[in-house]
Amino acid sequence: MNGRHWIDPGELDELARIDSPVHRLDPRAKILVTALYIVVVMSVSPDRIAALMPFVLFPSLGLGIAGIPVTPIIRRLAIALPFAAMIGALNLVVDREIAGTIVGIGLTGGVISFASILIRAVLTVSAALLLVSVTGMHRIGAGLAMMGVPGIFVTQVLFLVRYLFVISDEAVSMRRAVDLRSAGNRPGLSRGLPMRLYGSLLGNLLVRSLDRAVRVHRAMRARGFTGAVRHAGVLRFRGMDWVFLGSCSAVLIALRWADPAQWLGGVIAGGR
Amino acid sequence: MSHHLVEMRDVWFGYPDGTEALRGVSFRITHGESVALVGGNGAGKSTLLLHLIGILRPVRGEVRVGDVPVIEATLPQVRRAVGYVFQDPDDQLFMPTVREDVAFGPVNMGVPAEDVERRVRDALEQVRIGHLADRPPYRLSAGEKRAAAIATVLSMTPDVLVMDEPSANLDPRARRRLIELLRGFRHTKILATHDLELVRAACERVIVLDRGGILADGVTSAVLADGAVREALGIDG
Repeated sequence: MNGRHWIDPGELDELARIDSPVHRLDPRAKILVTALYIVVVMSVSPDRIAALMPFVLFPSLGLGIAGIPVTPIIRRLAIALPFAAMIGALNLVVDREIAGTIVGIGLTGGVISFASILIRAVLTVSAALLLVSVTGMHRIGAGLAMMGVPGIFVTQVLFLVRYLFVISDEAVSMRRAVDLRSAGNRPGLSRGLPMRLYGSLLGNLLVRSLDRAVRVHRAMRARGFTGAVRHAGVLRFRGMDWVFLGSCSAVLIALRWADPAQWLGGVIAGGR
Repeated sequence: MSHHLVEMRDVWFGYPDGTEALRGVSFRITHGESVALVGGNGAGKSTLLLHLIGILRPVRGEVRVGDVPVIEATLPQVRRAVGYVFQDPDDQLFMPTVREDVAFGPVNMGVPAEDVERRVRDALEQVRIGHLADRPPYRLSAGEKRAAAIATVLSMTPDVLVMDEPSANLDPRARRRLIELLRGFRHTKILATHDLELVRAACERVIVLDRGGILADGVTSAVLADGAVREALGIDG
């Protein structure tokens, strides 16, 4: 299947083949820095939204230096954000006490924590997408394996990604077949199909994708696959990887504890 | 490996839905032979081929590759000896780049890293797609995908090449190239196909399957001229 879909799972892997200083870093350095970034962002207190702002720099600089277009990242963020919004929306109902003001408008604790959840979701998901788009899933798997992550976990992750390819391929094929025979005026939107047919389509999608997955698995077994994904080539942790890991870690920890947004606010207020 | 490379002795196989796919199949293919497996849809060609690498096992009878029976304990050995090119290259090519896909087999075989690189280069050159090494497989044309799928098994340096419908979805130019490639290989070759032109061009022997059994087995020109075979295969004139 050659046609690209708007959420083609192979797109980030293709971006991972760009040649840039970020792409050339060892996957382990990038995995560790991304993991630290996520931990640091998640550890910021929900009521300190301003303290999250400096963390925008990490994915922004990463995307810029690596030459990754923003559109594929935004498309995938758009899928993840509704889930974060659903979780955060509960806070709007539960916490209605005024906790602060912005330009004279009172903000409830629920609104602040809702915004905090959304911002943190954008930051952490962007960082994860950045990692995939500058490393590729297979090299991330190789990095995790070399870091001592259990093989069964690495294999599961890589298989899950592979299954996403399979299911999206099958979904795109079925969508085309449906569109071509739908009675609607706008075949792209599949109008004219009763909702009950979607149950049958979903069932078909599951069966087709499982059949395809079986064929892929057979092809893997025929070439000696016995359950553990092995990786060609040896990863080398070089000086630049240490510099990247050390400097990023130092900056992230400093941002977490120093709260430059508050410091900057103090400087501006003090200067008046 | 013995002189008799691939052998089936009274092989029977049925699917769970009750379909009897192989009924008492026996044949022996010797070193260096090019054998076509022909038959209508559902004749049992793909089922038979999957027995050669132990993906399917007979309910009765025996399959042997070289000196060993195809059983659980010998699968690594069998899969080193038999390179299987699946019908749909999209099923076979699952890695991010052609290079990594071609390396997949040798890496699983425990080949040292420097040898893997050499094998990948050699295999890609054999099928003349060295320039596509860093492309993602799903970006290739049907002919290029087919060549890449063949390279994925050539890198394992098999003794026997097994191909399921190798000329499916190929345009005439890609098909001619495939035939040239097949003629150039010195491996023992077993091709399941409906493409009789390919059979005549690349195989000296034909085994005709019909409803799970062998209808005919012999020299290509003689078998394809046989009236009963022509009728079973639906060949006009």
